[in-house]
Amino acid sequence: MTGPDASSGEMPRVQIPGRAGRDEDDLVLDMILDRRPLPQDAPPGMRALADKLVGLAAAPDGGELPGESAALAAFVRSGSPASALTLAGEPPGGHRRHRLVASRARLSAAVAVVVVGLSGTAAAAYAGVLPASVQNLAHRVIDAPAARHAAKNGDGAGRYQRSHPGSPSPQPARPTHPAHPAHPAKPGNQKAKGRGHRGNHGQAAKKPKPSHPPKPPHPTHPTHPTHPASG
Amino acid sequence: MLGAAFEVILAGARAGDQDAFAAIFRDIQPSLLRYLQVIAADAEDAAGDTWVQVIAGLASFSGDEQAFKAWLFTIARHRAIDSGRSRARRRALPARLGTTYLQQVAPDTADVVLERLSTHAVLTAIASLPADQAEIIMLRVVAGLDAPAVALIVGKSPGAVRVAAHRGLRRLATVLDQSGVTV
Repeated sequence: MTGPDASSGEMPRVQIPGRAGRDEDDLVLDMILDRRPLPQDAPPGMRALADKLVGLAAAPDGGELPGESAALAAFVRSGSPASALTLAGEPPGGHRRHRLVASRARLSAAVAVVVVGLSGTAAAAYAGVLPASVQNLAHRVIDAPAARHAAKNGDGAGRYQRSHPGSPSPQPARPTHPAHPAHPAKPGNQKAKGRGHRGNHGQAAKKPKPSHPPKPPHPTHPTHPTHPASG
Repeated sequence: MLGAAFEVILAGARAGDQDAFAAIFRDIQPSLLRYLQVIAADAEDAAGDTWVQVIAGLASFSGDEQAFKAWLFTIARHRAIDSGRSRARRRALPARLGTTYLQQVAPDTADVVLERLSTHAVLTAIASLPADQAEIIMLRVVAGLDAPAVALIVGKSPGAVRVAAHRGLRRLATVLDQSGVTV
């Protein structure tokens, strides 16, 4: 007991006769808020309140609601969200053409980058300036000089000249078809080879010209017996 | 409440089915109008703005019926606030409401008139409550939203929402009892 000015929380809860307690009221109020049916012993005032609020939540019987025609018109006028979905899934002609052109442009740019990159790499391979592992790979794939020869001579042309003294080197494995039109290294390979056989491909190999790439040591051999494509 | 059918109906509305959209509209519009009648000066105008925004955002909405209602009533609340509805304007509710409802009533349906007059009286009593209590009661009872959803809409904690709702209901019971409103 804290005296006459005790807070309401300290006071004993007094049940008023004929009236439900505060906690019970809260439960009933929660039921009203949740639109649940009230128990039979709920206070009459609360029951009446619940009935009135349920009447508010009920929809009017029949007839057009205020604003219904305007809302439906807005729904139709907006093209409806389905139109947006359709646009996203199946663009109409103009959008589709635009996207097609854009994708083709991106594809062309990517192909150009790959072609230029492969051409430069092939030229560097025939110049013998690639790292040893890459150079050896190029030696196997596109018949570029081997790395060890480049190391001895200091340039790819000399290396190629020593390893291929006057005759085409045997090519046990050439995964890429020599006449493949899409392979950019092959035309350069052919020109370098041609100059190499003439004995002056060293300088050409030192300064590879992208516009006149060297010939490959093995021009197209459609009937090459050791064509790697099969192996 | 559309209940279990809501998902299908919403998918139909998103696919452009006018009947599906109408079903959603008819399910929500009565409670939306009553909510706006309590918090806004021009309920039908605010409701129209709300539906326009709902239609625009329908394709990007995802969620169940409760989430849809919470989203829609949040929009409605913002539309009411944006259009400058004030507490003072809400005081004009009884006269305007009475005119609106009576104009929509068929002349030979006395029961409907009495029902709407009763509805009007209850709405008037709710509008006389403090603004936060009136709005929370409308969202909880009329819109059918749960306490957490209402708390998000009005920017209060769920506990504060519950306390305000209880106070509002107690006061409302007293007001209706004193005014003799019958259902």
